Amino acid sequence: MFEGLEPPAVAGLGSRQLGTAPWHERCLEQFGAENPKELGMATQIVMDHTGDGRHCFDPDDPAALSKAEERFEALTSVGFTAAVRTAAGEVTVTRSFDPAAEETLFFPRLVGG
Amino acid sequence: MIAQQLLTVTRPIGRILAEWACKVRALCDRHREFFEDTREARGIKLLREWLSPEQLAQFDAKRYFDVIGSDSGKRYRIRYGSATNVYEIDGDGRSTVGWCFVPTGYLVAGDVMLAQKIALETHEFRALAVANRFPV
Repeated sequence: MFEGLEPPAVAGLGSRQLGTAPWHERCLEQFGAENPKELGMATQIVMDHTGDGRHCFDPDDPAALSKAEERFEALTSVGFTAAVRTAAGEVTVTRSFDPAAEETLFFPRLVGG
Repeated sequence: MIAQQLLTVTRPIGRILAEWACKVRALCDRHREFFEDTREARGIKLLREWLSPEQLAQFDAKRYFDVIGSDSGKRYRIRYGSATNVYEIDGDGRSTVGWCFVPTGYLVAGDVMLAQKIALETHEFRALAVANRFPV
């Protein structure tokens, strides 16, 4: 999982789309929420050069869920590791999309420094 | 005479250009500072969200936190930084060896530390397999 090469650019997920956090933050502000969970939204967080990009989606919306699954597949297929947190706060790495995950974090492939 | 007139005409233009150059440079510096601060702050915010309460307390107090390797049960100390910042710790809390592994791409320190934490806590040996050892 961690060995090897620089991940290529994710098809259809340019840096512009990955770095959407400011928009989501503004959205949350509009609704007076601290985080997407308060709005019943799930989040995919992708580490990138801006810090991170966040994609919030409604897990009850089949179209949004399908898009989130596509994003999961696209990122993991180019070497990103997906991690989720359990309710108890324990972090686990997952290889398959979990539609019930409230928060999934993606980080790029690890290499020796 | 002509040279003096030319000087008289061009001197104010030069001064205006110099002033503008200064303003543009200051604006660029301010923008860069703001952008860098924002990036760093976002990375730290994300890291803090994913640390356990004990790790968070340790990080706030000492700018490092300890993790337990998922495979060996060894203790590692992840210091603030984005390279050569992971240390294996013995029972007395002393660093015995350093490990260097980082996520690819230009990530801020908070992101790097979070990726290192998750890797050690979930797939320790795989993370160490790509890492470079360094003496402490």
